[in-house]
Amino acid sequence: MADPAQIFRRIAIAGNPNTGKSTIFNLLTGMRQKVGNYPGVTVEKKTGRFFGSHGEAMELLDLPGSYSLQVRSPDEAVSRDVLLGRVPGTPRPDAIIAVLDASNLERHLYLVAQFLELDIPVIVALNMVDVAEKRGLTIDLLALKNSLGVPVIPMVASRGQGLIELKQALSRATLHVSECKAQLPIVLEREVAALSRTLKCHAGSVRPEAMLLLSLEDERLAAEVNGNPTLLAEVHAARERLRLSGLDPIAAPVDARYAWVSEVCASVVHRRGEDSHGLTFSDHVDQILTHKLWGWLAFVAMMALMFVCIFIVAQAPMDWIRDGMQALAKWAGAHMPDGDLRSLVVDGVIGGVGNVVVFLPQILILFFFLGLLEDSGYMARAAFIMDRMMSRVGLHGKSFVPLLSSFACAIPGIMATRTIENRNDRFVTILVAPLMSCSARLPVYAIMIALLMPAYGVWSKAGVMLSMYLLGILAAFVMAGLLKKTLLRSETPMLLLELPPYRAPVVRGIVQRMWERAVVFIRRAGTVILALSIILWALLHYPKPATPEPTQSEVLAHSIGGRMGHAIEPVIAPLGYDWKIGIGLVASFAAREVFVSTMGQIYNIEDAKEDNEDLRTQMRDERRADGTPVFTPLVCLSIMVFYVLAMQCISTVAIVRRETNSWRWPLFQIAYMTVLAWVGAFVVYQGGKLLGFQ
Amino acid sequence: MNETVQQILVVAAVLGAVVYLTLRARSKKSGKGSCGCGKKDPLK
Repeated sequence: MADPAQIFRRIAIAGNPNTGKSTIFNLLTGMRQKVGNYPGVTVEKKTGRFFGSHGEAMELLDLPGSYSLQVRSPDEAVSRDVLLGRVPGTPRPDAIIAVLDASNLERHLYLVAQFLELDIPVIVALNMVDVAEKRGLTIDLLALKNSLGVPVIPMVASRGQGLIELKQALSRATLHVSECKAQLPIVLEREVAALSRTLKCHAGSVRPEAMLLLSLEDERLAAEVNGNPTLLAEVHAARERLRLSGLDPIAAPVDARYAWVSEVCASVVHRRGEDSHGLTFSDHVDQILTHKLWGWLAFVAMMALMFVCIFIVAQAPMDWIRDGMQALAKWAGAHMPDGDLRSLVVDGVIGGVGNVVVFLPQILILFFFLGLLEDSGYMARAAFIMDRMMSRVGLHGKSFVPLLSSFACAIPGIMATRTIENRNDRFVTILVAPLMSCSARLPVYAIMIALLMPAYGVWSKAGVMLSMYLLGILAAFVMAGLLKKTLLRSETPMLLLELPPYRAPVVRGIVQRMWERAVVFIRRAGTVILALSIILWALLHYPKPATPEPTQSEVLAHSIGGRMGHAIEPVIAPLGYDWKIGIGLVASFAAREVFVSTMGQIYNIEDAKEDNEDLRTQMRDERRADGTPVFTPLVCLSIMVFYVLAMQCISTVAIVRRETNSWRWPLFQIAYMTVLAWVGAFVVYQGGKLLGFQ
Repeated sequence: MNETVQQILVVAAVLGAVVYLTLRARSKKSGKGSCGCGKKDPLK
């Protein structure tokens, strides 16, 4: 067996978006990178290790999907730079696994044509051969192997088929660089060779670098050869010579590659009969799901069903966790002497963390449904039906994936904006992404809905929750429209969206992601939320009033937290909130779900009961000085609207700072979202009162 | 449990929470997300 510490081979896994690269990466390495049935899931390179057929250690790089090495977006640049050996600290790979979608070979072979020009050994993983088969496509594997001059491994990565053959191919002692390439015009070849002699870079990547420089658009070329006027002049001179000989330096290599791809496909792909109209199963389903009217109805119905399940299925496990937490608090209360330490453990730690952990089942069900919709390929259809709204406000088609990811958490959403090439389009998406309701808002919505409509059925509750999600989407679209017309003007690009075929979701993968979410959620509850709850407890208990034997209400009012709540009360009173809700609002600027634990702590202090009542009951019983309830339906709605629109997450602020490389944008984002949240909550509360609601 | 010991434990818990969050905020300057996602930027 080979020495595991020594890397036998460094392999890059590359290909068009949504071909299953990350699935193959996970299969080989045993890692759990996020996969999804839509383009743009991977925006960074990921590294993993695995052992070949003979036990040799190999390093695997999972690269973001790209359509061409002529990059248009930052994530595509990652792939190109790694393959050209430009990234410091990352050696040029020894081989490339080119992952192709067998059902769409013609389009995917263009990138392979470019890989073959890189002078690196290539192994083709022909994924989704089952889908191609179902579509009536027969691929002559031997002919493909001969045309490309590289090993071709048929695979169904989602089921692990072809993995052993792929490992065997990767473990061969020597891998050869293919001699088969697209035939470029002789004049172009000559200029590439001449330019290669001037370039000083990695020996293997001289020719591809020269090729890239010759075929770049002027602006990109200037950026590429930054600081080297001699090289720039040479490239311009070479291009001029090409133009004089009747060749367009940008179009000529593209045309040559497409001609080669067509030639290969003609001899390799054979079609059996499609249905009488030439439609596949996906096409039939799409006639309904992307229909102007039925598409919207199907979308709303699916979302409503998801929220109904969140309420129904999660109820029992939530009750178990709640009962468990109450029993634990009771036990701790009974076994500890009276005093601040007991209050810290019972109210601060168990009360604070427990009130957040209760929502774990709902969050997991949300992720189960999102996983189902993503893996089946439905999410791309949702983007398609939203395209009209998105393009009307000038949102880039590629904004969909970032916005979709933001339903889980704004952070991966904001990172996914790297697929957007235009700076202004990218910034608009970053600025509106936190308006999508992330999973941290779910506890706030759930508890408010429980207070708002205790006697209503699950469909009504699901309807209110769905409307909060839709409000977030609407607010994001309106803000994007405003930003595109003012601060971040740019042309509205067309939506070029690839609709992936419908695929049966892999339940194992979805359950795996739910498990990961559960671990992340529990870890967060046990670290950040725990720490915040302890600090919050201190803020709600100190300093103590000087009066002997103060009541619990006096302790709360005299504390730093109580004073903060009173200080901001004039600002939030028009929204219907009292000073205690104000404490929750201020605390949740660190993390949204802290609102629930804050409320739990405040009412536990005030009640000071041994039995640690259910938070919903405590909130429902809370009264103002005049005896009217604090949490009226209008106040609950106003709080929900505030949470839909407010920027209350320190981690998101940090990531926006990093991605925009300035403090200006995150500060602007906090300011505009806080104003928007205040105005939204004000309109709901005051408007509702004017209309006679309570 | 003695009241002084209780007070010491309370202060230690609060200080521990403050120190933890401060250290975490410093290490998060690279931007790792609350959801556990996000690593060092490969583009820079």
